[in-house]
Amino acid sequence: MRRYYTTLILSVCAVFGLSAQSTWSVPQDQKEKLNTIEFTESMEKSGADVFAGKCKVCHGVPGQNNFNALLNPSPGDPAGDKFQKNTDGELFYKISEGRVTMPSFKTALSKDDIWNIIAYVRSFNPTYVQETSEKIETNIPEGTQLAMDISYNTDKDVVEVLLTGTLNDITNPVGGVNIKLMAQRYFGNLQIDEAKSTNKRGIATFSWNKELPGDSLGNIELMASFVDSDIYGPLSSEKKLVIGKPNNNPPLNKGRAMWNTVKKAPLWIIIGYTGAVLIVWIFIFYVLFSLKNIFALGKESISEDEKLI
Amino acid sequence: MSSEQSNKSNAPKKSKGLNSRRDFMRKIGLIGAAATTGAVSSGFTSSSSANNEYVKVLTSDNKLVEIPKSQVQEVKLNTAALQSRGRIGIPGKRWVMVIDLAKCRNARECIKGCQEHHHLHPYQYHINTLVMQDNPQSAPYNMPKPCMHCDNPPCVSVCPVDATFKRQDGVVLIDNERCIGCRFCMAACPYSVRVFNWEEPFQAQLYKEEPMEYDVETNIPQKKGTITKCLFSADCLRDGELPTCVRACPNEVFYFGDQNEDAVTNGTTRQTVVLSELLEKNAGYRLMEELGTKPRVYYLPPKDRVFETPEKPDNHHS
Amino acid sequence: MSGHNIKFNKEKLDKIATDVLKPLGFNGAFKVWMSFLTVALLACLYAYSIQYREGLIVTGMRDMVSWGMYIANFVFFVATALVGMLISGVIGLLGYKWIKPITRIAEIIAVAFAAVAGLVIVSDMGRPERLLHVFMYGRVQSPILWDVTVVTTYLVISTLLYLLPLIPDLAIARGRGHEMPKWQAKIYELLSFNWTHHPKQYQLLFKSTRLLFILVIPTAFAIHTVTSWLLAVNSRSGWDSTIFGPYFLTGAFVTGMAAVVIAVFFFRNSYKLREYLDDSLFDKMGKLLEFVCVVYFYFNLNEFVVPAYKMKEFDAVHIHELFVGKHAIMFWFSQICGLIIPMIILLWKPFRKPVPLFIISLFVIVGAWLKRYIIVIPTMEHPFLPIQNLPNEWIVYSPTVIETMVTIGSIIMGVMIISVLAKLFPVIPIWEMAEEEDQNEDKTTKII
Repeated sequence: MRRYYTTLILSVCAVFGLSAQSTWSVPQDQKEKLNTIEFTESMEKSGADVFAGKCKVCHGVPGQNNFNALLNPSPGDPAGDKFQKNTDGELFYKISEGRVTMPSFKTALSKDDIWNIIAYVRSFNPTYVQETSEKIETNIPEGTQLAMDISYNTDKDVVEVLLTGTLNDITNPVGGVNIKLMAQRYFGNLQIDEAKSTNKRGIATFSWNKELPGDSLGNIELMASFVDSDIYGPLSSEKKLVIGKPNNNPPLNKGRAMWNTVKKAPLWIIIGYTGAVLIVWIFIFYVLFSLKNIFALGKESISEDEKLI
Repeated sequence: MSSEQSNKSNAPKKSKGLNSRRDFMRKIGLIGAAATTGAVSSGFTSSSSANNEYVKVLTSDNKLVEIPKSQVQEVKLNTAALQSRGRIGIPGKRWVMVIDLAKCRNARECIKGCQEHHHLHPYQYHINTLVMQDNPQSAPYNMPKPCMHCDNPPCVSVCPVDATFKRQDGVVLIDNERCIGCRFCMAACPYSVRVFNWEEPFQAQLYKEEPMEYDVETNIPQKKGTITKCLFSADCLRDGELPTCVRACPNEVFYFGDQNEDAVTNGTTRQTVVLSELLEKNAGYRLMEELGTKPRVYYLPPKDRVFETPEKPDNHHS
Repeated sequence: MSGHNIKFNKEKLDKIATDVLKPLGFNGAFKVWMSFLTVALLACLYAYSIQYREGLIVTGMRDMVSWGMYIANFVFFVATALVGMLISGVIGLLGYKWIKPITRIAEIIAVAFAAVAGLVIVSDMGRPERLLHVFMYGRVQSPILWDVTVVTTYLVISTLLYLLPLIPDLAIARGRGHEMPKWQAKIYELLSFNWTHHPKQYQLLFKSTRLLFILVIPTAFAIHTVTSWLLAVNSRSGWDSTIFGPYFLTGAFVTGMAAVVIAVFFFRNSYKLREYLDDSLFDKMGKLLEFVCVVYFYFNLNEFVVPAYKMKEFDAVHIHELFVGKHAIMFWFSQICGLIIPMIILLWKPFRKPVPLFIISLFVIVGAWLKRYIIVIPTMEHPFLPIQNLPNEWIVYSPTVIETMVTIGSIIMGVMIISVLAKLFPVIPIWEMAEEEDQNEDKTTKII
């Protein structure tokens, strides 16, 4: 019972808490974020597709004010003033991170997808003039070929990602770059540890939960990539390492069970059923055999006084 | 077997290349078939095309091979092939679903997506959203109810003809080419998830115009006089995609994944989390644990809800 | 029994044979009766053809109440069929001789109802043309497979129990030159298996029937226990009960006895067999009915009082619906008029006279049918999870006209089988009735 009261109180608090928190503050650096290229019609179009799939359910069709008004905080019409007052960076941040009833889309959608949605939403604002940003400067010289390598450090029992850059045939480690490490799962990648920055030797070290299952031999497919892929590019590296817990779970339909197929039925039920049927039918056939004998006896000649009737 | 298994567990690569290749093959129904190795399984209908290039194809035992394009035969799986594939399931997997009750606002997008996917009448639900109230004092909440895909499924136990069955990956399917329509499974299911085709199916007209092979993993075409039920979108799982309802939800309610990988992926945000942690932290539970059905669907309690509570259900338990 | 020395009273035999063979033959009245039944059956078959074409949508069943009147009717038919075992098997093996005149009537009912039960279950199938799948892909774990097996076995045993004792009678009829059409004579010849009243033939017959009497008991127990398990293996309030097997079995005895009383009453009057189906026989049948009613009442007490005492959440809903809810009238009618009142008044001898007993049996059998209905339907109306987002007419079950006609059709079929058998063959075993009573039979007092 107590659990339900707690639930009730918590949900009430949550609802009040939300209404109070109607402004959504975005970190300053994120606010100023801009796309590097100008929105095109094709971007708007693919943005419209994504919008229809992911956003329409709550936000409705932009400009028609048919968003779901029952939600708190209100999703609002993306074509409306309140929406359009956001900077591009704010929109990007809000779509990426989400808040309360608004899901986070940073994994579900690519950065390009999010920019396309913004392009689409902006197309409903005739007064909007897009600003674009310059390419962000990095400490890595122009033209450097970056390479990542994942390895397992036996001594420290950690996974290391080595980032190197090659310029004019000279290869050097690259430090100060944020790298995230993911483990492949069937429907998506699971982040291992937190994002780590490469050190002076170009190495980022990751530790992981030793219970994480791998395949039957303990292999886990790992994937390293840049946190800021829009700065360093979409480079990623994959490697299979034996760092997982070997997983040898048998197929779920392996053992004998009442619900399994006939071949995997519990033995007692197979024996019981066939045994009972056999016994009864042996007797039935015995009776049928007697009938045959009765029939045969009828062919024997018999005197009248031998007859019972 | 072990080498094959290790091979298979790595098969669902999520890198772009393989994914698109899988998508490509799914779209044209291409299954690896090299004439030299005789890998064309019986039960396929085929039509050949000639060219001199080499192409990469995935064989039916999940091996990637390169063969001359001239020897590639586009095959369409027929009902029998789809049935045998559907009964075997996907090795090394134990599908599991987690439903976060705190997030459900009864948007009914899961129902819509599901009914479209499986060609259901508007009154037929593979997944239904119920308004629940555990006791008179507690607040009502929305509860999406798919099939529980129990590990001790009472519905499968009672089936007289092996029409409904449980596969190695945990999915409970129904073969409507086998089903005799006795409805024992409906009586046996304590969660009332099974649905019967009382009349001609919703898309009967479509089936008449464009006859299609029966796929046991989508249960399409639906058939009058047979059972249909939630299939965890087994066809999507084969293609490395989340089930339809999971993808359709706009409110982060559904997580789906492989228990063997201890990971589930949220259908809305696509974030992958550790299953055991998710259940531990949120006190995940299963429906009617006392019946011993061992469901593969977990619920996270409706705590810290972000949506308003629904109205009290008027037909509680009746 | 192999040393059974059988003696016949020839005079008695003459008289019995004449009396019993006289009403046989397809006379005018019978033809009118059968034409009436045939027309009615055709109408019902037409109703079934609609169901076959349109699907089960034409019934009142929907996803929540997915089993309805058909299953209830099936349970009723199986229950009634069990009387063959009760009379021939249990009472016969106990050595009671008074059942002799009604053994064949009981077996006719057993054969007819077991045969129709098999058909009734097919009418409930969504894909009846796939019936063979049960034999091709049968799962040994499914109670339906057990049910198919035992219904078939019981039908075979009952048919044998009907046919075997019939052999000497057919031979007697032939030997006496009883007038009959050619086709009927052919059947008599075929089914009398060269019967020459050879003592060895009688020996074989005794041995076989005795074996079948023993065999029919576990088979009959199995058939109705398995039928009860079709419901009891499901975790649903109202079905989830450990006493469902015996509860059904004892209920079946009540139903079957009532059916036998009705049939015997009918033959007594229209076949003019008062001499053999006499008042003392009805008195004994009344006592037997009383006995099985008491046993059944005891199981009812257990079945309803225990959950009603605890009132667990879902049991409470179920009990409430039965006791005071929308099934209350049916429930109390079947309990009071179909069980409790008969059980009380049968204690007095006047109520065990033919006419009162006949009327009581009518109430019992109607109550028994309704009882099966309220065993099946209310439970399905109350699943564990709330029923929501379904069309209103999908939640409450009410049988449709088509469904009712198909059900009536099954009853007509049962009556037709009984009618044909009763006009084709003697309804009272002639030779057994003419058997000389063994003089040194034990004289211990018997209750019934």
